[in-house]
Amino acid sequence: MSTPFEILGDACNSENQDAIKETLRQFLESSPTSSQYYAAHKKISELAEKSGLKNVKLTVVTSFTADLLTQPLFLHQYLNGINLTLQYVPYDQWFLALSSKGQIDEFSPDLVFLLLHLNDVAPVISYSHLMDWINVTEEKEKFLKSLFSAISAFQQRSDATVIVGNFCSQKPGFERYFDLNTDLSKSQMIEDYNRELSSFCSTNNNILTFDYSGIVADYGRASWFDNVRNFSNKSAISSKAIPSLARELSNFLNSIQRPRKKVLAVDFDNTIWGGVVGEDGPMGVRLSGEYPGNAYHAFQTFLKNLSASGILLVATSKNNLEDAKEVFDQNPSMPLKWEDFVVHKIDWADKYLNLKAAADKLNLGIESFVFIDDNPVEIAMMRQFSPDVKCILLNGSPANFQDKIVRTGHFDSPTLTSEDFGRTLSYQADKKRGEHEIRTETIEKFLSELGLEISVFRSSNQDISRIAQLFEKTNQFNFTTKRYSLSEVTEMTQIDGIDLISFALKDKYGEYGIIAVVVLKHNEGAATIDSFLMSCRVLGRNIEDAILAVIEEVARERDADRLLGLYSPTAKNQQVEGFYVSKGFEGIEGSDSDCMFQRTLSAKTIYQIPPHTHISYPGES
Amino acid sequence: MERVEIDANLKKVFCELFQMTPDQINYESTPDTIEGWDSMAQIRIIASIEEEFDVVISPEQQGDMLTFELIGDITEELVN
Repeated sequence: MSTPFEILGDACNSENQDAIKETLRQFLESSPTSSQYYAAHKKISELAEKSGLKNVKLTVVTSFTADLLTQPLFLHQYLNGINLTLQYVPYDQWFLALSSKGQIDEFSPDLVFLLLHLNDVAPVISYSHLMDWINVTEEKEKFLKSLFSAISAFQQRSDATVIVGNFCSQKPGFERYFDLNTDLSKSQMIEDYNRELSSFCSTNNNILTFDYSGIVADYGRASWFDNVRNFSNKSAISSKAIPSLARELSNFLNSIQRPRKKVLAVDFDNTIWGGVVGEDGPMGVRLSGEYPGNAYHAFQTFLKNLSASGILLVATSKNNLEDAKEVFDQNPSMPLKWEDFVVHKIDWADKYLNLKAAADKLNLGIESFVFIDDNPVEIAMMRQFSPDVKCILLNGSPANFQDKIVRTGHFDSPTLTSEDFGRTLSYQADKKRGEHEIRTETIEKFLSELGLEISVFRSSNQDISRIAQLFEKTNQFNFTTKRYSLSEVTEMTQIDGIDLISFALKDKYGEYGIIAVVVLKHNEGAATIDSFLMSCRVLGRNIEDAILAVIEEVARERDADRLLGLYSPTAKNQQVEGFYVSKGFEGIEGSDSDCMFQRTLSAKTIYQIPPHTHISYPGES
Repeated sequence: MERVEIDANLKKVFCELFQMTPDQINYESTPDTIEGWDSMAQIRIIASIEEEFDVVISPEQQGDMLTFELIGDITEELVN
């Protein structure tokens, strides 16, 4: 029988991308040796050159030698469609390389991964804290100050996102039993290091903390570090543990590079409770008490918490609506409430059709959906008829359901914004708006009763992370689909010839937060609408008309005599195709794929704020 | 483990690391005769042997691993 390594070799020779990815996945799960990683990397990096993957450059800055990271990290990133190029900074140069211009600047990375062991940078807390306690705090303050200043200095010169591993204690010493029972606690002090690190990182959108100590703990601290090699050649992490670091780092990078899924579609029977409600009745399903009821109860709590992090829950269950609803109404052990689901599709229709309808209702693409079910037939059918939905089969013990979902990484995200926290509430309010829409006779009347209030933000202290998120996620109402990164957005707020304008919306049902962004570039009398995008949740309220009026106003302030609108067609943004023409713009010469439209600004204001919206400029006089 | 088997497994490691075939390696092979066998490759060789044979090689032994034959000698000592 062939080994996964040999099968991968055959797949590489075939040059069939799907076969390579599948065999590579199996290879990575087979605990390869260093030399196998090396050989696989050699083969696949040759293919990567030709395959048109996205190129990403990463600089690794460590206080020890970690060169063995190259091969497994490259291979994991390859699986995610990325051709990774790595640079290592020699271990004794981390401070210099960050704080002053040099090797990193020449490489010009997209990302920097900074991982320091306290052994290398803070000897007192690492080796002599008991005899030297008087210096422990001073060492911490001095070291963190220089670390933070080095990172800040680097950020002045580069847009790269900096990922900083937190600190962990290495092998426990003779203090292991008394440490937490004394005032001179090493582990408490290391927690202080990490608290200060996290709070430093959270002040800047472009610095992220990476839970290195958690990864070390998961693997097992005793076998993570190679004490002998650390002394003999500075290879502080054992060669067997390095692939685990590569895998976790790669997953973390994915959470930055790939948009998070937005919706979890949830089956009911034997998924969120044990048993079948149609047979067991609302009080007979297993939800509390002994196993497996307690496991289903815990799983529901997990789903509720997931929804609090901004993931929308959709109910999809083959049941009589009344039966399913009775569990929510009557069973007191349900952590999930009926309203926690933003859409309910409880009937006997095929689930892929129901998810399609839910996607339309939420104005979201089906590719942002994840579907969970205990029934392999439902999962297979979804994969067959709606292949863009990610499916997770929840079979086996309900105690493992949560892990099965977490392991997919679909809901990973390096940070959460305030919009994430309020998303479910905001969609629940949408639902009430929808009910209102049905009752109101004309659309004008409906809109005027909504009490739409738009806040316009232009200064440099806007919600940059939310704006970057909109650039990343908006597909439909998006004229140019330019994916500006966090650092590019930050930069735009500082350039004089560019207006970055963001729009927040609220109405009588609640707040939506930032829902639209415009980038207006000024050049010799022309105000070019470089980007114009709006969350699909607020379509149909003529917000775009109000935004156009604001654009005109800003352009006039800048003494522009004409507006230029750009449109780059994609598979998803047809709805904006005719917008500029319908607003009186004329088509002019553009490049082959992009269209350009022009509207001359005469003395008189062209675009009026629609009467059903109210505009304000918070923070401006 | 017989020396023949150890040598075969070591050759497999060398083939993966240096993109060569087993017949290109013999007891006289050294960093001078194999392209790419530098100090970084030495670290990979050591790590791979440790994983392949489930042994631990000390820094002292590492210093002695200067030819393919010596690598075989030390590995043989460790596994038997």
